[in-house]
Amino acid sequence: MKIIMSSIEKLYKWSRLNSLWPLTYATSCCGIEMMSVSASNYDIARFGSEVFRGSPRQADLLIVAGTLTLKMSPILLRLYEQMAEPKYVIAMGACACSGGMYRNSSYSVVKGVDTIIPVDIYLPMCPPKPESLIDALIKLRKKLNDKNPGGRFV
Amino acid sequence: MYLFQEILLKYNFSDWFIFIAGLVFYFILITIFIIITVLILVLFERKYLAMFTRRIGPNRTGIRGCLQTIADSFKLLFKENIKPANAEQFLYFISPLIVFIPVILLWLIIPFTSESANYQSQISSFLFLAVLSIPVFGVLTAGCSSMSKYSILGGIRSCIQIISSEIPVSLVLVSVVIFTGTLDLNNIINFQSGIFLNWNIFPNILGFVIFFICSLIMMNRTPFDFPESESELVAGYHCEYSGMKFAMLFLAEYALTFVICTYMTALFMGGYNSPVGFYLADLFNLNNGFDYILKNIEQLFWISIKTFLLIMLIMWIRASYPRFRFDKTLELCWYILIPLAVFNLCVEIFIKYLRGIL
Amino acid sequence: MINSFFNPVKELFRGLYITAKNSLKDNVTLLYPEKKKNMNKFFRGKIQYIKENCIKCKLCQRVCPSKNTIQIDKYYSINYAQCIFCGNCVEYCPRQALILTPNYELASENKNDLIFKEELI
Repeated sequence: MKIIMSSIEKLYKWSRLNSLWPLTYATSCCGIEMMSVSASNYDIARFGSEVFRGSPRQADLLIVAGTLTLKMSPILLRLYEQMAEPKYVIAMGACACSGGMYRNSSYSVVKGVDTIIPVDIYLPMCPPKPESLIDALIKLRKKLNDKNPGGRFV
Repeated sequence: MYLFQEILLKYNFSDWFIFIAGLVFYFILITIFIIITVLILVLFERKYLAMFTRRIGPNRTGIRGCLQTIADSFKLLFKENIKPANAEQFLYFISPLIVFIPVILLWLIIPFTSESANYQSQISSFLFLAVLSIPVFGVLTAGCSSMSKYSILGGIRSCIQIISSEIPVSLVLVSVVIFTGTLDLNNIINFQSGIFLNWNIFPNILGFVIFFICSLIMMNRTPFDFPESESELVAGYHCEYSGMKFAMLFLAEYALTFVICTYMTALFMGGYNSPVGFYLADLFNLNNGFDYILKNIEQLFWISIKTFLLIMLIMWIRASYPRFRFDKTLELCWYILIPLAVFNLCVEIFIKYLRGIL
Repeated sequence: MINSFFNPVKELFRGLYITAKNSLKDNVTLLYPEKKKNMNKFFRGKIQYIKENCIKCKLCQRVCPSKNTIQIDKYYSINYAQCIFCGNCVEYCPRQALILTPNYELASENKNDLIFKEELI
């Protein structure tokens, strides 16, 4: 019984880390780099995650690409809550990580998306190179393979 | 199916049990076959689209990405099943089945080999079209029951486009039926036996083009993928579906693609007939039971090769064209394709008449 | 009349031809984790701090467009989660205590890993 359970767990881990389908969600300039990742020069399809789903119900990976304003934050929260359970978040860009250059001078920018939703991988730079996003994806895959993120299903 | 029933007969089961057990067995067999075909088809499509955009495609999972779709399907299996609070619960639950089960029935109608023990009918060519219109109800109920504005729009669009595309399809089918003089798909295929010049596509090329365009509309493939157009409606009719139900809708869509392509092959491209005029299995002159099996395998090979070529053409079109406008599509169906189909029907009758004279 | 019918059909076939032509070419994908691009020498990646050259003039702190990214008190700290990699501090530094490196793989699980800290005397 234990062997069956462990092999199912292994299958579960293998399948979820090999098909991380991102949500088509971009709030500003980092979205351009995100598009570039799915295009032919950097080809995110190699990791099995070129399937950008429009509906949050079918997506696994939320890439918060760009500046998050206070007005947009309830929508981000709703999108996160609409996603089905094994779900992961990459905070892409300085603004998503901590508010970036707007942190201390702007009244309308959220100071990091981790104040609203849990974040798995932080990816700084303004904006990050497409390679950096692939690097973040690889680190997320490694994290999923090594350990079960706390408080999640299985 | 009959083989399985004969085995059961030896163990003295009652008749109705054998009948139902045979049906269930066949149903499960076809479902497994559909799942395997669709997994291969989706992987092929991802690699093929990558080739068109000069990418590599999935190459991490398994050897050169060969296990990618299996990983996807297991992930969808393990994913959380969300029920929207204000959805019509019963319809929301049942509509993936309404889409999926008629697609399995469609696979029973198609003759894959000349001896295949599928459902035999005198009117199987029209039966196919009749069953083909059932999944649309599933799409419509899926759209309306999930109570989201995007999915309702997707469902309505699917309904409208299937109505407008089915009329030219039926007219073209009538022309094929008049030309061959039979409604049975098996007889239509036998009519086209011999070398590839005997295929229906040559006297009926206009009909084939009309049928091809309309089949793209019926399959929701890319130039006409209005029910799930991602840039307008978020994900269309399966906007609120997640996990297993979404996998079912997705599976049904690809199975439909495959089965409509097989249907086109049967109508226009000679079905399981070999294009050279004789079966390669006949060359060996084996006069035992093995010969018969070999011939069936060869017929299966020819029909799948032809279907595969059509699917490749469809994917090529997906890689090339942007989406149509919705009202333009309806105009295309009602103003251009229906008059062309009627014209094609007249031409076919004329060719049939000429053949009778000569 | 005839042209208005045949031109769109011709364009349809031209579209198919273009995609087919491109499908036969070699793919252009950069196999990222295995092969890496050589960065231009002006590429602004991770900023490195050299303690020996620093004279604690706090000019870098003053010219930084995103405030509180560089903090100098007991520690010299750069918060990469806030830094926008404009290279202003490197430009203004009188003693070359800050240099730009072509390192762009900064993603991390923990936000505290993104804060560079070095103790000052």
